Amino acid sequence: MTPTPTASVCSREPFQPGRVSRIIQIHPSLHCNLCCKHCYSSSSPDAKQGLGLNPLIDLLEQAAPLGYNVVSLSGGEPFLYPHLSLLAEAAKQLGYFNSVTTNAMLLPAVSKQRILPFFDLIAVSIDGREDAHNTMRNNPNAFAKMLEGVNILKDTGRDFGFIHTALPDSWQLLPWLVEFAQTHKARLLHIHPLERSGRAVKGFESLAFTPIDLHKLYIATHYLQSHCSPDLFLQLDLLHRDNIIGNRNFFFPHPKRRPRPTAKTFSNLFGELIVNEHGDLLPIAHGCPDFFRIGNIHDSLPLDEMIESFIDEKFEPLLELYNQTYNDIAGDETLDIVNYSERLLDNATASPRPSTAHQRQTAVSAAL
Amino acid sequence: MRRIMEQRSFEDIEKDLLTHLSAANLPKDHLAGISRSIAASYNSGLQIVDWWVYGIPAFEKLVIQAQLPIVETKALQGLVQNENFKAIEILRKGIPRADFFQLQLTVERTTPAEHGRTNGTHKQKSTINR
Repeated sequence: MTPTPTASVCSREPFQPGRVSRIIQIHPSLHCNLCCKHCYSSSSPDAKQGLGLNPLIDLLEQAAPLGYNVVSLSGGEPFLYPHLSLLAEAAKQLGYFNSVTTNAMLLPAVSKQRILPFFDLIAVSIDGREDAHNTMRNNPNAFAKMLEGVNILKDTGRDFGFIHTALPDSWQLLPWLVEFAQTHKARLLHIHPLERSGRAVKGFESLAFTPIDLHKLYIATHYLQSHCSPDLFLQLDLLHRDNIIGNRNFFFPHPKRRPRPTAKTFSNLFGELIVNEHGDLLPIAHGCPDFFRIGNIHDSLPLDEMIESFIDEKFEPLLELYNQTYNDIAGDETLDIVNYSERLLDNATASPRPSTAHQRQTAVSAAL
Repeated sequence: MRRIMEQRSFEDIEKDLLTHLSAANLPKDHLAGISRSIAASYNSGLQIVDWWVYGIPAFEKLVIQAQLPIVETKALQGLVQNENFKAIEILRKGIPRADFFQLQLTVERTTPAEHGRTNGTHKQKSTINR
């Protein structure tokens, strides 16, 4: 199983022990009520266009028999997506575990509360104490409204958690975040290092995690986890190098001799499929370069055929990418704490790759 | 597995953590040693249930308390061979019969001179109490 950006080496499942997650991460729209400084997808109130409902439901219907079992909705602010209720209901009927990441500010609206029963996990974004949160969110009422939304979640009794975009000094904030999460009876605190993409490129260009920052974040998270388990699960999207080296989840020995997967076994190797705001299907993570595009939800090709075609054309380069990333990490003894997903995406973006038949076709069409 | 934890307030936990991590000029090698110990614990399948940090202001010694199912003797072997841990105390626990190991793993800060002297001849103390 290839780790997702959210995978922990221990593969702990706090909410459904024993389930191995195969995730469809959907960004149905970049429409948001906020314009956060650190937004990796540059979502905003101006970005109103969203994906159609039917192609998304078609995708989920086809993905379920291929092993995918979790739908993770993001954006933009998912509660602004006009078809959220129907999409979540359809996913539930297909047997998916539904999760959503939200700023929670819109939850006081009754119409939004009606959607909550379709979600198994709601993750609420939090950037810190009130002032810091409002500054990052560019909105003086963001924290107060988020808290209103959290109180509504608590009243529903549904499992919810907090997700924090970690900055280099976030290790100092962690005890407060843990106490905040415990006070509000959250089940999860997800700590995700800042991604320097989208709007964050401009606002945080000089910001970098030093090795000491990463160690402190790693140590603080694990120290606090031991004190808040099992009521609160801390998920940190950083791995220690020692948990990667020799771990078969991170490299593929003898890629050319490896049996070819099929569409049915693809999710065993690549456990996360991303649908971006254009409807493109991508492996790895949001921001994955177009070379590795699997298809588009608006294509007439069925999902299994898209995946089979992807396997024919891109499977070897994808294995090479994972192996290259593994070798980089293994060969760099100064690198202890790794943002694995970022390394993978950096390598995917950096290496020039031959254009695919699709790209050549697109280039020809554009020229005509 | 049961959790056996010293009862400490969250304020004490927070104070311990921030005091130690905020120490000025905390060397990267020292932090790296602690991170390596944590990673080794998880690699072995341990469930960490408590930590004690000693030393003012910085980490001088770290004691990690963890639990491991009693069938995981191979993981124990790996831990014993891991030189990050200066001392390992292993207790059999469980009522009515022992079904897990409770371990206390000690990580101590070494100076560069001590590291050079002990490297390769590191004396590790491990005790197994029945």
